[in-house]
Amino acid sequence: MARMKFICDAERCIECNGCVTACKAENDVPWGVNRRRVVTLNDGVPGERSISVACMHCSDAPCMAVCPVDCFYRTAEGVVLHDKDICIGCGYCSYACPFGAPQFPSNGAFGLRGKMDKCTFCAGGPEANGSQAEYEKYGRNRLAEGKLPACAEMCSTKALLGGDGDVVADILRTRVLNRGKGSEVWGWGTAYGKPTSGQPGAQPQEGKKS
Amino acid sequence: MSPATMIVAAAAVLALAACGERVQTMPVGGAKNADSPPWQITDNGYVAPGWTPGNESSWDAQIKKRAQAQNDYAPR
Repeated sequence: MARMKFICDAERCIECNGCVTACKAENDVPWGVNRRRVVTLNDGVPGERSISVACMHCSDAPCMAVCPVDCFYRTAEGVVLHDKDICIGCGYCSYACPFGAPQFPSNGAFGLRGKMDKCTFCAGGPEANGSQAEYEKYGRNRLAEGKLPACAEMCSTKALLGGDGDVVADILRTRVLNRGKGSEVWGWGTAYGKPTSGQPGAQPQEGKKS
Repeated sequence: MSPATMIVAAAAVLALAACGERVQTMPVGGAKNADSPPWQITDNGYVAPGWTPGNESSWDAQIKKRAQAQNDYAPR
């Protein structure tokens, strides 16, 4: 069973925002909402690095933990999704998420906060796969069409990788080994955390970023 | 029963009727609609060729193959 993950190769990202555009176009994302953003570290300084950030579909998602109406669910593929029919737009998930993934369309005259919108890993929502109802609420369900998220598949430099965690981790590892660097800014450990001591699979700390 | 008593009784019944609220407790397991697995899709015209909709292992293989398209080091 595939476990879906994103990882961004900071050595390759050229801050073209193609992933942002692809996501907005593919999912008909409302004005004022960006499910994906490109963040530049040390902007303007030689050696700046950019990474593309969206929902990381956390294994232990804080948004799920704080939602007062329990509108989130995780699919068997590890994708964190939500049911817009249940969301009350309270914004707790927005405060809980360390990546700023949950966004709220504010299209009312008084800044009304609509129902939460976030990256779905192009996996839609609870409506029937590929249906018009699903598209209107959540965007395209590319996973059910046998495709990967539009942002990753459209990335011109293949900096943004999306898909089965084992496969994308392998791709990044091969790149890092071949060029001898490149996971210092945004490696797997930074994105998804390192095994903590006492947990199965824990490694001794060596004071080195992965 | 005097008319006054009847009016008071009717008013009491009406007042109590306002106490009837619909249940707001969340059902066990949450109120979410069930989602179907991604390999189950009726062809909407956008399904990628190379796999059989409805077949889990076929979908799994398709997703892994598709992910390898991102790999510059994969043998072609």
